[in-house]
Amino acid sequence: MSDAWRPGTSPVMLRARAGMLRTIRDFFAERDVLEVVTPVLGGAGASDVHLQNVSAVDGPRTFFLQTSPEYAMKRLLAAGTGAIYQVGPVMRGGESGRRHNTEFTMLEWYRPGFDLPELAREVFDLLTLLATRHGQALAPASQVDYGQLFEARFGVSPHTAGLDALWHLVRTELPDGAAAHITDHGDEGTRNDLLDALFSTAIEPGLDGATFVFDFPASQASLSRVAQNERGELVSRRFELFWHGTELANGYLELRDAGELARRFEHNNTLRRVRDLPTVQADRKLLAALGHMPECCGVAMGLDRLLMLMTGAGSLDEVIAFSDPRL
Amino acid sequence: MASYSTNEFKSGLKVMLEGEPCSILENEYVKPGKGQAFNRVKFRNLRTGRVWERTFKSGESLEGADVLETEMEYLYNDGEYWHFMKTDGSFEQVAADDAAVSNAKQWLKEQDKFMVTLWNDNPIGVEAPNFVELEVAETDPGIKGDTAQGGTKPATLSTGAVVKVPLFISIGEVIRVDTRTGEYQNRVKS
Repeated sequence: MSDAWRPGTSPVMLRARAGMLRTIRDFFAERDVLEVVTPVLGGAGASDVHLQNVSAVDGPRTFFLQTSPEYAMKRLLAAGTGAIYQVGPVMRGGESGRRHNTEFTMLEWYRPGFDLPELAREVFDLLTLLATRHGQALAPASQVDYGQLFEARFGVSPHTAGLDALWHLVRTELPDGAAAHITDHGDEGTRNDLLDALFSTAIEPGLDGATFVFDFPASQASLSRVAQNERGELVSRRFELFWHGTELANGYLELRDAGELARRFEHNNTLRRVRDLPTVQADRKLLAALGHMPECCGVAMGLDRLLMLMTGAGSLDEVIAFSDPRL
Repeated sequence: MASYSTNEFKSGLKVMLEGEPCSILENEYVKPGKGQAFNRVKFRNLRTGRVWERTFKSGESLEGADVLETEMEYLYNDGEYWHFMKTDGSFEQVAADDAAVSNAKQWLKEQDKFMVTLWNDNPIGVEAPNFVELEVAETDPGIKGDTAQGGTKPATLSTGAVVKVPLFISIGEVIRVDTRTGEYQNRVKS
């Protein structure tokens, strides 16, 4: 264990990271997007059922290490900052592996007045710029619809299929044991688990090159807006960017309805209770701010993963100076 | 036996899965977008050699399996069981059944050493070394001097294994065989 103090990163990798950060800052400076810094500590944790908040206890007060700077940045937007971006550390409890680390570096930005396709274009512009500097040529990104991908593979719409139909697909279309981790609670959370198992096992591996997947199931809206698609199905106005088969960025048409957000927070707590997960107190300051937030789109991108994909590193341990096992 | 949580799963760990002793081959932490995290784990069933894939809720755990891989010397076959002895000086012996020796059966030569997998002290697998040296028990007469031609003929070795050998090999000679491919390597000068 005499080498246990060493970082996982090579000097070349540290320089690559510094170069990436410089390119990102230049990119946003040219586009007049303001860099901001919001606290890593927060008064409330993230509500999403499957985000585990890490807390920090300071005497009588408990803070929550932010799983993303989303809540604080939305309060800034509500205060009238205009377009903003942030690069900083975020924490997600229990997430550790080749492509996960409890603490990682997030790039998050918000664009008032943009629609989702415009934001996706900007994400791709940035990706192209960064990839080119690392000698990777990028073919134009594909843009695909979650529902169409799903229906083409499984023959049913993910937006309307019932729990029974999804269980049936999991049993007949996936390899044995591919959904052994799913407990049937008979609710929307289980529905999401089944959709995730189907999508991540049978569809994601086939996403070649940079691919934007648009319009996720409404039950996976998180803080994005739910709207009807052309077929009258309720979908969440979101995209995820996949590159080299890995999820890299998550963009939303942001929800601005505080009443709807309060209902989602409560609903998440209902799902959390059923799963014996700790409930999360609603962030009242975010709820109060939301009505003031301008119409906007926002996106978050994991920079460590991006660095890993650009440099061809085999795991996050090679791109993060001290990943979880080295702490 | 201790139990292991998904974050302790690593390649080579021996665990019990559905009553079967298994060795973990791969463990991948997966978290789809906003979804529930899980681990996708590949196992080798140590009794059958079959590979299993299964997902686990992150944080789930499995009982460890009391599995030991140890070098043992093959002693003899009593008609039903194959007997092995530990080489650690304890002279302890175990009797392996047909299923346990199936992969190595045709290479078992008395006094040779093999890797034996013990589960709860019972042998469940025997693995031959990559190369073994065995005597040719039966083959067509050797053709003297014919070392250049590419022709081969079948030869039955002292353990019963049948391998293709060059035409110049004759009964009583010792040859070296790759047990992974069953291929003749070379003649061993004695």
